[in-house]
Amino acid sequence: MSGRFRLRDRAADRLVPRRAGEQTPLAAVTAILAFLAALALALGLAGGRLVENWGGKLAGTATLQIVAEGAVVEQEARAALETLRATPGVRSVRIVELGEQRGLLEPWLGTEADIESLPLPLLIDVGIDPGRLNVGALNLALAKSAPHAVFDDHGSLRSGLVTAAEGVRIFAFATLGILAVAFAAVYVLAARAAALANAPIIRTLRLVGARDSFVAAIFARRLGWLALAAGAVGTAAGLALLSILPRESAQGFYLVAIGPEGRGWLLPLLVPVAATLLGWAATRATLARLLRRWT
Amino acid sequence: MIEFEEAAFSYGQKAVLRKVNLGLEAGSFTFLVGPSGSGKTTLLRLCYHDLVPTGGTIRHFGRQIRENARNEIADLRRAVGVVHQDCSFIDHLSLVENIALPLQVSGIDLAERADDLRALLDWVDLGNRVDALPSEMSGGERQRAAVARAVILSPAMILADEPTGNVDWDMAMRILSLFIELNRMGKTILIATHDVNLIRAARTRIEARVFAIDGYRVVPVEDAF
Repeated sequence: MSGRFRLRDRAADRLVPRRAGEQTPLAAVTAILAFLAALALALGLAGGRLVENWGGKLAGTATLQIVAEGAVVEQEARAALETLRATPGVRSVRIVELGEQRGLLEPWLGTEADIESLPLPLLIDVGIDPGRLNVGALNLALAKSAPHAVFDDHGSLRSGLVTAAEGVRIFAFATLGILAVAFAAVYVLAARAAALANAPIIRTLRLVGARDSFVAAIFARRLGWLALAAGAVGTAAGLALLSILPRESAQGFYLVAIGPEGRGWLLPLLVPVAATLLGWAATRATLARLLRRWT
Repeated sequence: MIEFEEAAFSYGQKAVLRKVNLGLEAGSFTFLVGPSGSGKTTLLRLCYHDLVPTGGTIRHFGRQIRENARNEIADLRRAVGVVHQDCSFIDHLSLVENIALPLQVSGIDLAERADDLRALLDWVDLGNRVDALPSEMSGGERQRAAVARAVILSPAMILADEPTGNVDWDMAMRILSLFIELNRMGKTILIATHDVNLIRAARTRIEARVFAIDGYRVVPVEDAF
């Protein structure tokens, strides 16, 4: 009966007095950790989207360029297009017009640059199905039909980008784990301090027949509710910061916004819930261990 | 009800009790005497499992206390009412809240027991002091409140550590009367005291055994009072 789980037990909670300002430092640390956890979670989600973008969308594109001059370009372009269209795993082919090439180069060379005078290769944007395309066979076919053609499925670039994005994701989730350990440690210390500050009351409760679970529940409820409230404040601050960061990346899908997207905004709401459970469990376990030592 | 068999207790290297053999039968009234520091409080604390013997055995209700799990220790303390020397009240709780503590920690709904609680307060003559804080109560009021808290769960045994130590003679007699009344209801009483006049007064009204702690041992005292 006395060990039954209760979210609220006003009469029991009154047994241990609340002292003004006693829990302010703990609330501040909780809010800060929740703030950092919300940011780390958002970073982890952004890393996941980067992996998806670079590993998925980029894997579906390839580029073929013909580095030659004069009539050879046109001749090899036609041959390359035919070869590509006849190759299993090639979904689409499209010649990148000069205007489009100019648009791609402008961010790097500026609008004043005389792009027409540059020896630009002819570019063909190729949509591919990576699972079906045999790059080796395609290169052999291109070597015969268009010797100046260079096919690039972005494999080396993509693997580097995906590795970097996975690194970001691992870093973010490792940070979350470290924050959880730090959070639990803070609550272990806070629970111990609260128990020591109220040792005479705990002793009286034990002497009149209180079970360990009854005593531990008083402290676990108090610190659990504090973790929820302060965790919610910290998470809200984190979400507020994320909401004012730029939403759209100037670099299209190569980079992504750090803030969550769509349903991803709901995930940080788990931070105060996790804080509550962690704070409650750490407090309860600490009290149980202390009480066993106190006879 | 409680049996000590060659029981011993030491605080580290300092022996307090040795080879204690003592049995408290149901419905008995027993005094434990001895000078300050002789081990009276230690023996009482062994009775409600606040301490564990360092030698020998102690049985509560036929069960060795070493065998008790944590929850069983709590259950034992509900079955043994204790009047502590310092009363052990919680300072920020009112008198009625302090008295009701054993009910609360046992998960008993206080509203259901409101009538019993009121009757108990009247019995110890504290019905008009329900909202008083421990710091606002006199020594006699605190001791009577401690008796009320000790009996609120209707335990079979009541232990009292110097329950009249800080009160005048008239109040001591009122408190003694409460214990005698409880004994007549069938409760087993063990009182640790150094007040021989209290024992003399009790023995004029009831049959009470007296034990003394002498040289770490508990010995019966037959005719000294």
